[in-house]
Amino acid sequence: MFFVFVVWGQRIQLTISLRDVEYALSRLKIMRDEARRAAVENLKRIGKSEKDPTSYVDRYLEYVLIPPVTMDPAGIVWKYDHLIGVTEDRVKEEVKAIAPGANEAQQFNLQNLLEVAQVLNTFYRVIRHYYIFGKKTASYFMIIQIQMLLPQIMREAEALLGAVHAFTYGHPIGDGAGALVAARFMHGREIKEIAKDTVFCETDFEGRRILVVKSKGPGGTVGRPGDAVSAIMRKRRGISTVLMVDAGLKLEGEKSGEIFEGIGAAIGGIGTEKYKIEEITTKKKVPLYGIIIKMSTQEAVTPITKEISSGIEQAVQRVKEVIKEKTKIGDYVLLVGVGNTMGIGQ
Amino acid sequence: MAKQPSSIFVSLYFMVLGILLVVSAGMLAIGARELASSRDPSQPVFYMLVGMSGLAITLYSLRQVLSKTKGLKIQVAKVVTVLECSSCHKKVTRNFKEGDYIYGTGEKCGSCSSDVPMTIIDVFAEKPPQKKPTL
Repeated sequence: MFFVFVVWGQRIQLTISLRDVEYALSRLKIMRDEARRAAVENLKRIGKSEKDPTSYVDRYLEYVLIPPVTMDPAGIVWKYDHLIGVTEDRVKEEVKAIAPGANEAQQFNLQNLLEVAQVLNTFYRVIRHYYIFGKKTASYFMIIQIQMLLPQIMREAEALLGAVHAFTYGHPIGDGAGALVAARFMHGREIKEIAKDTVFCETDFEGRRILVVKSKGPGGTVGRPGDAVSAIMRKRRGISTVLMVDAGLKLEGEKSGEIFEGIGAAIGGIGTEKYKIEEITTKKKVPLYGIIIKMSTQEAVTPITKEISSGIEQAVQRVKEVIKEKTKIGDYVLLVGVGNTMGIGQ
Repeated sequence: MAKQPSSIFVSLYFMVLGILLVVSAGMLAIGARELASSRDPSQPVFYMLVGMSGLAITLYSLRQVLSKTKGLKIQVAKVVTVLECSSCHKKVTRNFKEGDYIYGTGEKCGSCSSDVPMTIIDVFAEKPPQKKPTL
């Protein structure tokens, strides 16, 4: 027995690890297929598509954003910004053409659904690549690296699969917590579109003028908060504070719906919107505060729970307190609600 | 045809587990019988330990296999919509309907004669996600 383990120990371990990866791969395939099926079904049901959307969905699953060259990083943010804009416009036009029966909000939700299927397809393809490569080369170290990452990947994949239901029906999701905080200040006011898929309004609170920005609901979009903040700060002089509210991932052991605060731009994503906000606030020397509502990866993409809903109300109260604490009567405050505004109007 | 090798391995795996189970049970039985009749308990105790170890390995392996063959579960929460009447401020909670969104409009208020439809003020998952097998 000792001899067997000395000679073939690593081979046995490789077989066991390969079985684990194979099992995860089969689950990822089921998840990918389910998301693909939901996308096709909803394009037919909501979009009332005349032609079969299956071939379009299959083509979309393989779409990639080819990253710009990073050898000379100067100006890379604007290159990314341009590429993201082109991608969004292209998908928007294609979904519009393939789902003529869907209204604007439903078209955004269908885009989100396609994105979920695309991410699950990417997970599946990458894991399959390393599985086959590791098996071909019998590389134990290749396989254990993938095995180590599997719990995190599977958790994210399961969260995305849970999101399929929310995107199908247009439920407000946890990621929209920041947008909902902004909507609480916006409701009933005159709304203007300030940037692509992004709206703003003006309101008064305790003698301060509050300029509120959020993505345009109720369709599933994050808008362009960076462009909106830049446009407002260029046009409007005398803004004393920028306050951002966003959903943030909690660490294990932390409670969902709790809020925490920070200094800086509370916004995720690829970084282009964050860059724009940091750039303009630094130039104008305006303090930037962030309020973050904690949640798990799964809660961020599934319908808002009671805990997160109570966290949102806490965040609204905290925003009011921060405005009173950090600004003076007569000041202008820019409040930015960040996140996917699916199922949230204004 | 492509699935043939994996089904052979599965059959082989279960056959090995079955043999291990039978041998372990046999060892346990022999150990118990010997313990009753023999004066020296060391050999029967050894048989029983081997038998118990074999049983433990078999049960652990079966548990591993069963946990992996469970169906994929999608957590689907019950989502509710809260509406408020702008006239009498009465709040109504009902199941989410497709097309509902926060600050959208809902039905007319049932308790006052206002013609203005109620406003949706909240939409949330009422209960923690329930595990429901769908695949």
